[in-house]
Amino acid sequence: MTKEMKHISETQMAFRQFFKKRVAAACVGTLLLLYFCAIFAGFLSPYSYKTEQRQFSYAPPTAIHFFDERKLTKPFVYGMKMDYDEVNKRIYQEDRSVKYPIELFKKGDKYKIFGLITCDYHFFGVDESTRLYILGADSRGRDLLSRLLYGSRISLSIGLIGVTISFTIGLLIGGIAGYYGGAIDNFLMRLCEMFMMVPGFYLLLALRAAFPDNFSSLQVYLAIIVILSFIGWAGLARIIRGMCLSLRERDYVLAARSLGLSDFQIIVQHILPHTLSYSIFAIMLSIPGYILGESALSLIGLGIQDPFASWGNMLSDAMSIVKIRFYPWILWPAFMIFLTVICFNVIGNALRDVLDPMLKGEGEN
Amino acid sequence: MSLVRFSGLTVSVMEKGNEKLLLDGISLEISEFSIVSLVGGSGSGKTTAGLALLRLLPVGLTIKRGEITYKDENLLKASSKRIQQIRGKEISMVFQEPLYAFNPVFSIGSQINEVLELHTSYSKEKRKERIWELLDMVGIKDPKRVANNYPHQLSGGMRQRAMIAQAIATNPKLIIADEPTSNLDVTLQAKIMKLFVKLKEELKLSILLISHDLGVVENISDKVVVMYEGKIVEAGDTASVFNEPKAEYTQRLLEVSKFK
Ligand SMILES: Nc1ncnc2c1ncn2[C@@H]1O[C@H](COP(=O)(O)OP(=O)(O)OP(=O)(O)O)[C@@H](O)[C@H]1O
Ligand SMILES: [Mg+2]
Repeated sequence: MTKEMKHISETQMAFRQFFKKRVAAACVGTLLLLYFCAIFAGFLSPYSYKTEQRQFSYAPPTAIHFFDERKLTKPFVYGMKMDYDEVNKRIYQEDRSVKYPIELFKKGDKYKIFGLITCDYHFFGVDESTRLYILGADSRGRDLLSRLLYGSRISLSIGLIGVTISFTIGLLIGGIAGYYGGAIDNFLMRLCEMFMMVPGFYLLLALRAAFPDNFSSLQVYLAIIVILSFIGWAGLARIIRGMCLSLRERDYVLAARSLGLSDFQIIVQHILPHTLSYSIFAIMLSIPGYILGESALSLIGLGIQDPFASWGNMLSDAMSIVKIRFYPWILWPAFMIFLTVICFNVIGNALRDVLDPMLKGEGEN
Repeated sequence: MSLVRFSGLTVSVMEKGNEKLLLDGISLEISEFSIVSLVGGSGSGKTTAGLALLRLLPVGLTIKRGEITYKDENLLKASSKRIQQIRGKEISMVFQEPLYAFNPVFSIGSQINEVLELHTSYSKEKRKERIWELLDMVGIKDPKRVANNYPHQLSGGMRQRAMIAQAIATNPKLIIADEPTSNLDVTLQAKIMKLFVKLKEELKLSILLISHDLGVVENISDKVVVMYEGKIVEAGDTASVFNEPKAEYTQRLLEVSKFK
C-alpha cells in the first residue's frame, strides 16, 4: 500500500466501519429525522402547542379510518362525542354520523417559519368542527403530537447548544492547563474537582435557585443552558488536560513556537485538533446528559413553563400513576427522551469503537 | 557586521538537588552572511545553545548569566511579544526530523501559509503563490501538488526541503539548523547541504549549523565552534581549526572522523 493510499483510507475506513454498524447508522437516521421535524415543527404539527380544547381533556388517540363501508377511501376520522360514565369519568366515542377527511396543506393555527415568516398552512389537518389527536390529548385538550414536535425544539437544541458551550470551555481550560502545566494547571484542576465533587443534580438545583423564578420562558431556556454547560465542562477539561500534557512534548509544538506563534494559537491550532477524535465521541456521549438535565428541571417545575412545551414539562403531567393507568399516551415524551438518549449513546459508542484504533495509532508517533 | 552574539551564556538545570551547568559561559559571534558550525560530542550542549537563542529552552532549564544579542538588542531582556516577532521572521529553525516537526494533521502548504499569515501582510492569493515559489526554490519539482500533501505523504528528503522552505518563507536573517541531515542518506545529505549554501548566497542569510559530520562542516562553513561539556574549547576560521587544531579535544575529534 502506498503512503498516499494509506492516508485516504484511514478516514474513509473509519466512515465505512461506522456505517457498517447497522444500528448506529439507523440511529443517525433517526436523529436526523428528529432534528428535521424539530426545525419544521410548525408546519408538521396539525395545531399550535397552545391551542386548547378543554372539553376534550385527555382524549385518546383519534382512530383514522381508511375503509368506508368496506371500500378503500381517503383517510378520514369520525366526529367525537363525550360522555360521563357511572364514576363521572369522561369517555369519548366516535360520532359515526359525521365524517371528516384528513386534508393535506390545511389552513390552521398561525406559526412562524424560522421565526420570521408567518404562515398558517399545516402539512395535514381536519375541519375545525372536530379535533385530530393522532397521539391523544393532554389535560387541557392540547394535541400531544403538536406539543411533542414543538417540545423537541427545546429538548433537542438544549443538548447541542449546551454541549457547544461546555466543550468550548472544557477544551480551552483543559488545553491551557495541559500546555502550561505548573501552578496554572494546579489551580484549574482544583477548580474542576470542585465542580465534579458536587453531585450533578444538587448542583443543578442550587444553580437554578441562583436565578430568579419569575423569568420569561426564553430566559429560563437560556438559564438552563448556562447551568448545564457550567456543570458539564469539568470532566472533559480533565481528560483534555491529560492529553495536552503529552501533546505539548511533541516536536511540532516546539516547531510552532520557533515560528513565532503565540501560546494561544499553539493551543488552539496545533494541540487541540489532536484531541478531536476523542472530543467527537465524548460530545455524542454527553448530549444525553443535557437532554435529561432539562427534562429533570422541567419535570419538577423549575424549567420550561406551561404553555410552552418541552419533553420534560410534558412529563410532569405523567407523575401520577392513576393518570398513566387511564391515559397511557401521556408517556409519549418519555418515549421520545428515551429514544433520543439511546440514539446518542449508540452513536457515541460506535464512534469510540471506530476511532479508538486511530487514537492509538496517533499515540505511536 | 555581527548579527548575533552570545557573551558568557550560562544555562543550568537542577538535578537531584545539585545545579548542573549545561552551558558554561559560552561566547560566540555569528556575522552577517556567514555559516557558523557548532560541533562537539553528544550532550555537549549544542542544541541547548540553539534553543536558548530563540528563548525556547525546555522547562527546568534556566539562564543564569550572560547575554544574547541580535543586532544589538538583548534577546534575553526582550518582551515575549517581541520574541514572537523575531521567531520565524528574523531567525528561524530547521529541525532534525521534519516528520515530527510538521504537524501531521495539516498539509505542508497550510503550515507554510501559517508563517506567512503571521509575519507578512500578503493577501491570500499572494501567499499561495509565495508557497509555490518557496517550494520551487528548495528544489521541489511539483510544488502545487506537494503543497496539498500531508507530511507523511512525502519522502524524508522532500520533507526536509519543505521544512527549509518554511524556514526561509519570511526572508529571515538567520537559520538555526540542528542536525538537519542526520536522518537522511549520504547522497541526500550532500544535496541538502548544497541547498543551504545556495540559499545563503541567494537570500543573503546566515546559518548556525549544528552538526556531527565534520566533512560537511569543513566544506561549507566559514567558522567552526567546538564544544565539549558545555564549554567552547576552540573557535575560529574553518581552515585554521581543521589544519592547526589547538585544543586537544579538537584534535581527537578530527582524528576520529578521519578514520571513518
Ligand atoms: N530538559 C532537560 N532537562 C535536563 N537536562 C537536559 C534537558 N535537555 C537537555 N539536557 C541535558 O543538557 C545536556 C546538553 O544537551 P543538548 O541536547 O544541548 O546536547 P547536544 O550537544 O545537542 O547533543 P546531541 O549531539 O546528542 O544532540 C545533556 O547532558 C542533556 O542531558
Ligand atoms: Mg542536539
